[in-house]
Amino acid sequence: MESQLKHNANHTKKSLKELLHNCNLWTADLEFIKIEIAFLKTLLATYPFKASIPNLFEKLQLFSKDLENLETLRTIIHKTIHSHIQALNKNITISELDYSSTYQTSYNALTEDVFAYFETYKNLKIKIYEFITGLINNKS
Amino acid sequence: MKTKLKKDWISRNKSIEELHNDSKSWLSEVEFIIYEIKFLEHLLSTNYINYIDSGLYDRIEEFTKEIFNKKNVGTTLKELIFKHEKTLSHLIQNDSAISNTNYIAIHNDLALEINTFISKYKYLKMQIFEIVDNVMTKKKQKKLK
Repeated sequence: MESQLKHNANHTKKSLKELLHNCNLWTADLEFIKIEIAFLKTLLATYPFKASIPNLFEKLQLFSKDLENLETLRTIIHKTIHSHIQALNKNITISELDYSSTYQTSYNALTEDVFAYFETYKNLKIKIYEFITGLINNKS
Repeated sequence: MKTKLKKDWISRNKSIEELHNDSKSWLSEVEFIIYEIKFLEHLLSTNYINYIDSGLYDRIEEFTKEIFNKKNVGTTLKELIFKHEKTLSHLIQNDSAISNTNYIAIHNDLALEINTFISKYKYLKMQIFEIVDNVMTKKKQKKLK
């Protein structure tokens, strides 16, 4: 299984409140991913896999490294979203509907980054699940 | 002070593209959850984590049942999304997708149902993480003794 959902840029003009709501949803998702990454790292480090499996240690190390990289990227995206939330909150007080096309472009770029991150993360999880399931099936 | 955001955009008219994208994204999310549940079922199976020793048998049994129920709900939702997409293509053919208030109402209900399903699933997943972590720690401690 591979997740291949492509994000379709939607050019419907959204209200600032809607943009803010989306940012809050992404933040919640990223906070959940933080917990999940920590769990997966523990699982890979402590699961009682058989040491006799070829290249087991290398594979586990690679997955851990991928998870670490995604955790770093997660933090960066999280910070970017936070600055968008601050900007949006500021603009909501000034004007409800008027916001520049420059901001819209930067928001669209953020949307692309967030969706690409979610897809990459999902695909890594699929690889890890397939790997662990294979080991589990081997063990039985 | 934290103020609650009034979701006044929910009533705005969505384009056909947005409606279709919603369904595509729901389908991808639900399909992934169904796939992930299979992995969690594996993880909770007695062959791999000896939870009987760790005294967590009842809780894991309960989670196994719950996760099985979630898989069924996921499958039902998947069917509903397929049906909903089929309706959309019929409405597009008749050029009445956006003006069909019944379709929009069903779309909003489905959105709510899917969001609730995802939230409940995430809560259950957190509990499973906690219990698997617990078992692993106990196992590690036993090894060290």
